[in-house]
Amino acid sequence: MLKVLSFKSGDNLYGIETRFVKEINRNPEITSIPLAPKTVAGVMNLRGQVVSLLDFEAIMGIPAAEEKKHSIVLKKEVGNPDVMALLVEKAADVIDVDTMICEKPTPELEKHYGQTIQCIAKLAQQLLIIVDKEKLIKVSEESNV
Amino acid sequence: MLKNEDFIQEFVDEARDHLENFEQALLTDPAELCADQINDAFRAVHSIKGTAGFFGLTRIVAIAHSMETILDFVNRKKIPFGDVEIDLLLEAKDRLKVLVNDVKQSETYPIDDLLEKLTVAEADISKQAAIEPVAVSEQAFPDNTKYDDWFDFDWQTQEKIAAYRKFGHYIYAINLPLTEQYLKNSGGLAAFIDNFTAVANVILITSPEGEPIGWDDLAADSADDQLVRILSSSILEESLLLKVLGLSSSCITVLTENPDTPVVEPLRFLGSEPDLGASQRSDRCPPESSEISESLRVNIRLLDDLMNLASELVLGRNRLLTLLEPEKKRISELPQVLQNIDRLTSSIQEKIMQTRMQPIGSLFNRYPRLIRDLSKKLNKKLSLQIEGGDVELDKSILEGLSDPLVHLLRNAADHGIENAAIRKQNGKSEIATISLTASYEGSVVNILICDDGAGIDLAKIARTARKKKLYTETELDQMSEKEVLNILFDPGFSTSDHLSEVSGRGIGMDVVRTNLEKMGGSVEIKTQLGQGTRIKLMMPLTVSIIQSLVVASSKIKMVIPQADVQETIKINKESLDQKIEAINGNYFYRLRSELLPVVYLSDLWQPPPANRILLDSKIVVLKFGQQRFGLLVEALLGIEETLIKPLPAVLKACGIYSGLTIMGDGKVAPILDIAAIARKTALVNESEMKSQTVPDYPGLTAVAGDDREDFVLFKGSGNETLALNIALIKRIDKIKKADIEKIGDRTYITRGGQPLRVIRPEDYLALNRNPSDCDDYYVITPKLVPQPIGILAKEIIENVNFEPVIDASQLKMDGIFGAAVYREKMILIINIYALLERVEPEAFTFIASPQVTGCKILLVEDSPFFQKVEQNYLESGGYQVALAANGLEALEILKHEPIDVVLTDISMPLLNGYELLQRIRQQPAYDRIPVVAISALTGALNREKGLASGFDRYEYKLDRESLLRTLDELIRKA
Repeated sequence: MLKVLSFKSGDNLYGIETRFVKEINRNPEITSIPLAPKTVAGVMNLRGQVVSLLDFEAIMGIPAAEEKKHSIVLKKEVGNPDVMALLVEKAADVIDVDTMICEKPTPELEKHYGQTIQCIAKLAQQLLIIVDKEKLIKVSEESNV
Repeated sequence: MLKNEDFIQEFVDEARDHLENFEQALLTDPAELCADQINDAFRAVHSIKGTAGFFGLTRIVAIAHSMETILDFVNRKKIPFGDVEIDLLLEAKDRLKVLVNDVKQSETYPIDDLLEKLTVAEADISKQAAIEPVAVSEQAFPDNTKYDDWFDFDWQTQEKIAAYRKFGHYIYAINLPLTEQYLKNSGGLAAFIDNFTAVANVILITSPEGEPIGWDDLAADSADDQLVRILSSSILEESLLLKVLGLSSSCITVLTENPDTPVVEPLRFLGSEPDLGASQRSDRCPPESSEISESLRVNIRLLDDLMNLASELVLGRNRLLTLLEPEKKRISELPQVLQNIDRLTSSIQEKIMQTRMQPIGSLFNRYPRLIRDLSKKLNKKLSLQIEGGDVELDKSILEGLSDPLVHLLRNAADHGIENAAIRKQNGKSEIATISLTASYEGSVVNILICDDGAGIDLAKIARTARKKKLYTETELDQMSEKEVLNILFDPGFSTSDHLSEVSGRGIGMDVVRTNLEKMGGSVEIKTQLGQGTRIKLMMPLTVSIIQSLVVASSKIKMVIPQADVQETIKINKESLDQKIEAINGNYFYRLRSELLPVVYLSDLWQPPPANRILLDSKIVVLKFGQQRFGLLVEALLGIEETLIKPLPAVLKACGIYSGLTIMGDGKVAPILDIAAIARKTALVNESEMKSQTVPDYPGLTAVAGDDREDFVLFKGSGNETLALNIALIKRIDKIKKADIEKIGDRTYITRGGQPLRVIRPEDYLALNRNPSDCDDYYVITPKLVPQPIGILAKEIIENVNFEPVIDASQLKMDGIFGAAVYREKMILIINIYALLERVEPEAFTFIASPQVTGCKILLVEDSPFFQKVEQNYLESGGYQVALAANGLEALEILKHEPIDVVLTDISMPLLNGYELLQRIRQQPAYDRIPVVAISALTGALNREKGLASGFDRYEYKLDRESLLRTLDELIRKA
């Protein structure tokens, strides 16, 4: 069973495992940083800590439809002093996902999303695209160069 | 599993200190190495041994014990200390340090090799000791049996003695006459007992008859002059114990270890003996413990936490002050309360910062060892002089300095210092001196690393740079000494011919510079070939909170460290003489007659808007090393105390930030990295433009947007004021007279390892000459000349901007465009090409084709000065010239005169260059006439833009050779 925090972008529903998530921040005050790579939406102050905001849609290469209102602050990784957050359109519920209903992404999707998808959960109402957090961070770092 | 693990960290901290002291004591100059130092060293290992025994760290005990034995021999027997012994002891110290640092695993480290060496040394030294006079050796091995009468050395006593010895205690037999006088001096019997038990552990007390007694018996039996014998152990040495107890040396005897005494497992004893606490206590006390200690050991993590909290507090305060500002009027007590909180917060933060300050000596003291080792490895005689060890720096900066300093010292020893033979040859002392000095300068600490070695060979750097193709020939030719030295900081640059064990491993000066800059510091090199090298590090005292200036551009707030800011200037929009001027796409501001290069902050990340001069009207004047430049911003928002947060990895690539900060309003803002911006925009160069503060004549600068040009005014040896257009100058350097060398009838200086011919204009032009020499000269290096050459000037007067009204008819002189009057003085404007043609005719290889002679060029140029210059160029190439001041005039002339080539300026009134081109191309009759754009802008971008708009060629106004070649080519093609 996976615990997944779901969030929306356009018509699609994405998810990230809650074990990576520290908290959700609504309407963060973003400072955009000139010359920052396009995957970095800016930085924000989270109770005295500077958090780098990664633009989820930019990393995934999906068009930005609406204003991004929520930031999903990720847990600090060992050995990485920076705190990162994913800036998303709208964070939704935490869903318990049975691994039985999960499937590997099709090669087509993999090509499109650059292997950032961990799996796709076939929920009753909608497909949930669960992202691979490590890969996501890696892609954002690579686009930095 | 370790015993008493709770205290282990304290042991580690203490042992580290002891090891430092040990090394310091041993590294005293051998000539001065005396009993005191050896005693210090002895005490240090002794204490380690003692405490390590308490924890059951047998391997540490074993090493320390051996070291102690050797030192003991040296100390007591006055056996001279050899280099070999010192080396061995240092090696042992290093090993101990390894074990101490990994104390929990220390029992697993192999130490047999070291112990073997130590044993050999011990044996050697004891052999030496045996040869010593008998009397001395008797003293060292006193006959313990004598004391058998005094004390009953039963197995229990033996066991105790052995255990105490394991702690590193001395065992003393004390013959104590408790006279009235003695007790009075000690403050009574009770005080004496307290005093005694504080420094020593009693094993046995006996009466002169050999009966065991206790302290109580003494108190009860208050008879005068009673004699007691006390068998006790103490960590204190004999001399100290005597001092503490106020006894004469005849009363105390140290009992040496009896080799026959079975070694008792100390742990058993420790488990059962209640006296343990006392022994631990006395172990903890350093020998000088009679002074009351005013310091306290605090875990550094706690301090770090405190500092972070203080920083948060400062930010919270800033935020509070901002928020409550509007309420100040409404609530009458508020201003006072806020002020108080403001003040308290600042004090707390300041005090906490102070707790993190450490004397740089703690860092410097590591280096005598390094130099000693290097001296051995490199087989050079080195001495290290340390000064300013009491200068204090933030702990984190100290830590960050460690590696760079090691690197610089290694460099100095390996590359800087010549070997002894060469030094002797050059009349230097065989012993080379490297000095390490720290001193305050305002809120900056300067650290100097100087050596009296060979100095840095600039020519060698240039050669290596050339070999590695890091720079082009011309770039290298034109570099100043400083610039050449700066190559050392290029990544991966090393001049070392070989990779030695010591240095030259490829991680080089660039890492040093990067590390220093990360901490807000900078580095500067000065060198004199044959004399030595001086490297200066400039470090901030603390890092984390800085005063900074908040600025804004394009609605984005940014922060500039106040330390980088020299002044701020508001440009008055109405005033025309306070404006930003552009030369070749670079911007300048005249700051009290000095030309200050400026850059628009927002240009760093976005294309320039059309009307920005109205917006960006504040200049922040920044100093970067010795140089200054300006940053143009929209608004200055005030000064704040800001907490530096490290720059997230994802933002490193931006290249213009050094960190982030959280401001009073709670928002994050980037901190600008001034050094990076200076490098990125190439705003600062190494030329030392001399500036003088001469007030501008208001009358002469009133007209803006006119035909004024920028000139540098200078003087040769005569009294004439000479002028050279700034656009023609690559750089100006100050040199010493001694730098000028005469070869044949020519004079040269060395720049970047290459000879550069320098000339005096008065030697080639009809000017006055004054043979008297001065000490300093300036070398003006012109741009766009076929052969690098320098013009010697005795004085650089100033940079001026004026409209040169050239009257060539009055002054016909080769090499001079003409004379102009500026501030009622006559100024001669130099025609650099004519001058250089006279100097080096062979360099001007271009010969015009015969068919161009007599061809007619239409020169369209609005600036009278450039008109003159270009007309001169064209006529020198054999052309006829028709002149037009703008596009409209040019079209008129085209109608009436046959023209071979049109040469046009771009920016002109009425009809500019682009518009003129369009008009010409609209008329089929002019189809065959090539149109060449000339511009004062050299950038590639402009050239592309020019060519894209349809010009046949695009030339730089002042490049005579290129201009003539182009015309020649076009005409021959036509």
